Amino acid sequence: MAGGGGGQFDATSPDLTALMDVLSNLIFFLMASFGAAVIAILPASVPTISEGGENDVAREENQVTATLSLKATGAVSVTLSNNQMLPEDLKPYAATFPPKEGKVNARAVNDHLWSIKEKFRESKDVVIIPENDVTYEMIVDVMDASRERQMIVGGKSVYPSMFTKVVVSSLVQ
Amino acid sequence: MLGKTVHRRFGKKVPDEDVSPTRLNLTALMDILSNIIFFLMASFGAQTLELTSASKVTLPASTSELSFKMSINVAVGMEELFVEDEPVGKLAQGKLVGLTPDRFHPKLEETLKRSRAQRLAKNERAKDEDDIILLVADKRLKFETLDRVMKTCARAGFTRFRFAVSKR
Repeated sequence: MAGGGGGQFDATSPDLTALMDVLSNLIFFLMASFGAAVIAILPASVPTISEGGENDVAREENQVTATLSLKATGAVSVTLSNNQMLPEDLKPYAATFPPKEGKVNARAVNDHLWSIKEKFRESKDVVIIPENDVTYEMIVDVMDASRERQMIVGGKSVYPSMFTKVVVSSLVQ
Repeated sequence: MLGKTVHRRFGKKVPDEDVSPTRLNLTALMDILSNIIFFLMASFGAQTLELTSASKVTLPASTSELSFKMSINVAVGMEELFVEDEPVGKLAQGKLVGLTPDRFHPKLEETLKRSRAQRLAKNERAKDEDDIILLVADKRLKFETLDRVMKTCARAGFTRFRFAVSKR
């Protein structure tokens, strides 16, 4: 008779309990590691000498380069530049923000840079000039304050980007 | 008491030969667990950063969500400087020791140039990652020290950086 066995079929049902045990252990280990290794990055660059005396300062009308001078106390001074604009035209946007509780007043810096971004929409470049005694943590705080804006639109948090191209430079001595 | 064990089923006494073991169907649960494990393993692989040599480094916290990418790793702790886990210099009170008169770090520069040459030799075309330094630095370091490290990197041909930060 073709097929033989007359339709008798036993489904194989392996015992998965041991495998479940191993997988559960793996999950706990991986979840613990996942929490411990949450690392992100912040892109930045240093100034370079270009051939022919060109510089990277903004040229378009809707673009400026923001320069943030950072003091060890946490004070931040903001100035703007554009190769096609007179310094007097950009002077109204200059501002200094004193520290708040010994740290950078990130909120005030972020508010000011957002108002600049709204005026000069194509701006992306920011030059951060820290004093020698400024800590790395403070530089990262300033980079955070200049990178994006947190807004709530339609009940959802959105993060429009602001000055994402960061150059970290020292004062010319 | 010797003799047969007696179970109760719906109030009636039942001898143990009549109790069939309960068999759970674990297949669906296995499916879910396998998916979770693959997801976690993928995330784990993408985010692992070798910080063994620079284990004393405390990263600054940031709101950045940019995912971690591997590139040439320069780690600056409060006491030692590493390139790809190889110690290349010392720091005293958070300041680099052994700078040249023009304030560059010769061993760092030499190691980076060698590392770059080795990477380029492996790849026929230069990758984007070959030109970027992953800077793993302690949050307490002063800019004066970081500036020297970054400028030495720039002199070795690396002008772009990724600052490693811990997500806030």
